[in-house]
Amino acid sequence: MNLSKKLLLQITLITTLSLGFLTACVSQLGVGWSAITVLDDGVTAIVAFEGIAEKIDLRTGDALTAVDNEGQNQLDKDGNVILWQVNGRSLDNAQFFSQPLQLNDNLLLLPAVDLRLFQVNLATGEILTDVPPFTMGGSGKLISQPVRLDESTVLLGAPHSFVSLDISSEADQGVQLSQNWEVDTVHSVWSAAVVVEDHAYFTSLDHQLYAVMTETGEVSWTIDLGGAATATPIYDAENQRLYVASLSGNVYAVSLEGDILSSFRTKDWVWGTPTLKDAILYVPDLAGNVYALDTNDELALLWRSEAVIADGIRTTPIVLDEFVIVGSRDKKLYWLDRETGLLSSRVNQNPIQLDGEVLSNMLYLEEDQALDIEQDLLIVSTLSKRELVVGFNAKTGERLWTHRR
Amino acid sequence: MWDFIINPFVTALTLFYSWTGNIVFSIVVFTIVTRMLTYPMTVQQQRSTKKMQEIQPKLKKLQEKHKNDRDALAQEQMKLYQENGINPASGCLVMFIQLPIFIGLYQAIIFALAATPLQLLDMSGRLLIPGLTSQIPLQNTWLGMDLTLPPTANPIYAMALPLLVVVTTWAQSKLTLPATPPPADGEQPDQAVAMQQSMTTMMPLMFGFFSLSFSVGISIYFITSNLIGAFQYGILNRLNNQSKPLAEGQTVEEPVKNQKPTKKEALKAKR
Repeated sequence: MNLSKKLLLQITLITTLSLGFLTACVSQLGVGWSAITVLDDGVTAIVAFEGIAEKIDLRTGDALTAVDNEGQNQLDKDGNVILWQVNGRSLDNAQFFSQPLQLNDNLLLLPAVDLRLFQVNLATGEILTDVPPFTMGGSGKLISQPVRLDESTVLLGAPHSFVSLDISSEADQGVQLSQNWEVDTVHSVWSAAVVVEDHAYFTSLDHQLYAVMTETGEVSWTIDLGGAATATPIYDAENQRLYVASLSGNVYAVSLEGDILSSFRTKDWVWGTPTLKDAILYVPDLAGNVYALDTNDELALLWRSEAVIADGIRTTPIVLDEFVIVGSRDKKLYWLDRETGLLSSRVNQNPIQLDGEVLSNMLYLEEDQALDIEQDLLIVSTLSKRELVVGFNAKTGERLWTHRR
Repeated sequence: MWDFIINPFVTALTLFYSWTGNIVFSIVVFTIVTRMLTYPMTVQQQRSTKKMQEIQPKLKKLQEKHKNDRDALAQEQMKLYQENGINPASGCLVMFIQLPIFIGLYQAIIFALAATPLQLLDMSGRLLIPGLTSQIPLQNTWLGMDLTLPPTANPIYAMALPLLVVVTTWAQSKLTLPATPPPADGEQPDQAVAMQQSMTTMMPLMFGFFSLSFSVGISIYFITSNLIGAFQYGILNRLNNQSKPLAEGQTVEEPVKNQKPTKKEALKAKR
């Protein structure tokens, strides 16, 4: 071979390998999945994903417009309606993966992954510029969902801590956020908190379940879960206990005093928060199994959905009277028979195919004539922007609408 | 696509972490292991480089002989390379064989340190040894630096790492590639040598650029790998005899006539 050709081949090889290297690395830059918050009116939602938060109508999937104080659509200089949208590019490339929290009729708290908490006018979608965004301390990413403790307090997990924020002081059109207390954790807190009486319970990637006094932030106890934990604890009011799962694959029943009462071992990591209904705990794992555990019988296994779902389930199961509905990383939705865990033949034998992985928690809206919800709705969000949010009939699996971005 | 590389790497990295309790130490141990595994290639590359050095006088003669005929020169050079079993591309071979390792390690560090939910989620199912899940996520800070972030997003002193990457990559390249005299006036430079020299300049800059863009953990890998590589080449250079120019009509494989045989060869001849 001619030497020049050989050199050309070498240069081609270098370029190809370098590009392959970059492509392989860049392909993993994703942070998370969308988060959907249903507003107090019960039919509109804020969808936060990557650089945009937008408002949609859950009955139709339509993007909603920004309105002024009189409820009139806002128009741009060309007379076109302006959509309700918070664009992170205008906010130093803010990205949104954490669930927004409605603070009152006019105000939305919008957490950005870079630790900033923005306040947004719920009618116009405009960021309150007179109130600078509150910035959480430390470094890392904000993933946790904020939880309203009461009129004046919000609880929120952070990188290496869990914080209580005071929202009682009013500021120009918004509120003045300030920190009440902070609990240091070894790793990030991605779970939300569940509040029972005077305690908040949350899990952390540092393998611990924390019980913290909501008033002072004093840690009452911690339990080692044997692995990092991302799932939010569930409170069983009837039995006065918590259920919590971790990436160790264990599901625990824990007393409010911090004693492990019983446990169950799944086949893989449990990431999604289980669902408790009628004393049965429905637990998804990342091997694609769903487990039905009897909480009245030391988490005894009632059934496991065997060899049905091809990939991991991160979402919290939606449990209806007849079905357990889960979305999977294999881009499919499954309606399982609630009694047996088998694919429900009543809905469809073939699971519903979507365009992207289903990682976001799904929503269920019951039929409500007063709210103009004509059928039970299942709202699903995928990683694909072509099917960012999709509405289904929760009982038949019929696709009703698709919201693209 | 890269799972067949990434999964064993993630497992190894996590296993080393379970032994050392420190992510930086585990990256260092991991680097030592990978350099040991690629050692045969390092030796081969060094041999090829040495052969290249040895044929330099013959290459120069060819350049003089065919200074007005580029095609003939290229053909003669290739013939010379073939006769001596030399692949001009082998000088850079080890560096490029390392690229899949870089990719695997980059992904392994990203997954194991789990800075984002998607990265941690993608970690599931990658650990090939049961029980290592309890190590996840690995502690991702070291000396005040977040190992998952690039140097630009870390304290200012983290910028020393890309610099160290450039310096150590250059040092390793210098040890790997032979020193070649500049062409005499009017003499045409050898293309392979020119290529090697440009690589000595370009590769450190390229890796320095990568280090600026990617996580600090990768910089630590680059630096450690380069230092170990430099050490390996240093040892190999010492072990190898000083190269001698080839005589007319002689190839690297056959000894020069009238050259004093080595002790081993003399012993063999006696038998």
